[in-house]
Amino acid sequence: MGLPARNRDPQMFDQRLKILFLCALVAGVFILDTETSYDVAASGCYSVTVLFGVSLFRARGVMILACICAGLTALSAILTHSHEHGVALVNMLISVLALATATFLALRIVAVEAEARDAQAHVGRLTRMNSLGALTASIAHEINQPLTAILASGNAGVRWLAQAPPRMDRAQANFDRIVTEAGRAGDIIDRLRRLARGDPPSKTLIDLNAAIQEAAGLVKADYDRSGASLEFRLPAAAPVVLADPVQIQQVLHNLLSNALEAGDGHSKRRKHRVTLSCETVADEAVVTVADLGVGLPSDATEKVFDAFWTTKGSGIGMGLTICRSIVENHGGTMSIAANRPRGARVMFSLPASTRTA
Amino acid sequence: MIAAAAQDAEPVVYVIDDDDSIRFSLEDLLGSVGLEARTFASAEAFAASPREDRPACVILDIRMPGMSGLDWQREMAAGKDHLPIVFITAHGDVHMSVKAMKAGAIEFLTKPFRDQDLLDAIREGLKLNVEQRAAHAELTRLRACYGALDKREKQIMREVVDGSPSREIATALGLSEITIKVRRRQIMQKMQAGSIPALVRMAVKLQAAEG
Ligand SMILES: Nc1ncnc2c1ncn2[C@@H]1O[C@H](COP(=O)(O)OP(=O)(O)OP(=O)(O)O)[C@@H](O)[C@H]1O
Ligand SMILES: [Mg+2]
Repeated sequence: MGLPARNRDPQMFDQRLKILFLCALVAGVFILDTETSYDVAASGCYSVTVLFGVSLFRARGVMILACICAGLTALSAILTHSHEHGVALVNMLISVLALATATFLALRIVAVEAEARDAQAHVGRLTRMNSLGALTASIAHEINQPLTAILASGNAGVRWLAQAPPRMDRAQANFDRIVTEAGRAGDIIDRLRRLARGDPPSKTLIDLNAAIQEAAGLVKADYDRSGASLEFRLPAAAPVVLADPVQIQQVLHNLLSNALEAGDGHSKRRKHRVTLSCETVADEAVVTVADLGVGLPSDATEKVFDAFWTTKGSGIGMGLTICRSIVENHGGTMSIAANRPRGARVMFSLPASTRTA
Repeated sequence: MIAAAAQDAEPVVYVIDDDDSIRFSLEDLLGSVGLEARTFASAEAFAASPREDRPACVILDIRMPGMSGLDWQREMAAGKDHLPIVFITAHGDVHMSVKAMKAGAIEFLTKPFRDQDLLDAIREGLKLNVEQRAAHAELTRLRACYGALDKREKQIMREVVDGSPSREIATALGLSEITIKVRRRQIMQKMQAGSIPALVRMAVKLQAAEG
């Protein structure tokens, strides 16, 4: 952070350099045009500056640049002392014609580029909207389950009470279920809201070895079904962290699902294997989930953490986004890298607790 | 048919959903209207369970881990396990509902649904299954009766059903008219047919089933 602010924004720097170069170019052409004799149409070089201007300006800027160039052409024509007005005039006309053609082409380039930019933004918006739709759908699904149970139980309760004589015991069981299910719906909304707000997690001391094994137990059936194997490299002395157990389970579950999905399409012969390891480095506990799957698209090591960024047909692209936000909320970091010999390796760290679980 | 329906066993509803609370609440809702339910957490578990000989209908969640509801519907339609299905889903997926209905689902309900809609769909499914079972039982009975006829009787029955009078049948088969008349009475008895038109209807049913 204490570094000098020079070169902080390379793009801005680049822009300034280009404008400087453009001014030098215009000045150079002007001097050349004024100094050389009238029968050399040096002013034709202005068209080069206009075409160069495309990389710097929008349509209006290019037009202004063209006008300046035309003005300068006229000025050098006046400044150049000439005896043969006819030749000078023809030269000037040629220059202006070249300038006009270059400007026309430049404006076309600008228009096409703007169109391409628009199209790209549109595609971006569309994919975002699709993911939002998918997110809404999955939230709706989660909440619809308890809602369905509540509705069915309510109706059942009413029917048991309407019988002669009323079946109090059965009705009671239904009311109990309604209370439980309403609580469940509330929990889901609560969790979503906490995630959106980034509330502090409710922390307790966790044995990471045990947490890892618990998460693995939950995905075991999925792994077995696709013939993938899970391996553990856990230290004898389990690292202990102060963390929200539910959220840590969520992180591990997401990473294990991604690792398994990365092995989709594996042949039976080349078995998919995922390795879960855990170690204490200095005052941090580091968990690594390494797989032998398809690996990451090149240059995607940061993009994967963006909300809604996904390469899967049925994915939402929220998994890693949520994982990173949870880990950072716990004062840790998360990163993803290529694994050797293939696949991906996701690591996250949490501050280790000095107390024992 | 109506008589057969009245004689059929008590119906049962199979509820297949991976969500515990939905299974429990639906089982209880069905219980409150006097319907017996059996619940399963997956289509595989249901497929592995023994089928009972009673009218039945399936309530099936369309999206579950493992075999999806639609996969299972396809499998069931291909096999002999022809039970009417009422789909329930937490996704209002129009594309899927169209596919399910085309494949012969009774109803496609989006969670949360009105209990009356579910109960109506189940009644319709059960009624359909009672009819399917009655038709199946009737066909089995006809096949048994027909199987009890000897070769000659089968020949005569074909002629009778075609509308030939006894005298013509006698000439065609080289028998006396009296013999044909006696045989005819035996056929009617063995097939348990009250009249010639009834016998014709039976022949049509048998032929359609062979079809
Ligand atoms: N272990 C991995 N191997 C290869 N690519 C991965 C791995 N984990 C994540 N990715 C890439 O990162 C993307 C984003 O992952 P993320 O978990 O955020 O979303 P998703 O899995 O696509 O959808 P969902 O929100 O349902 O989890 C994935 O689509 C995939 O391209
Ligand atoms: Mg994921």
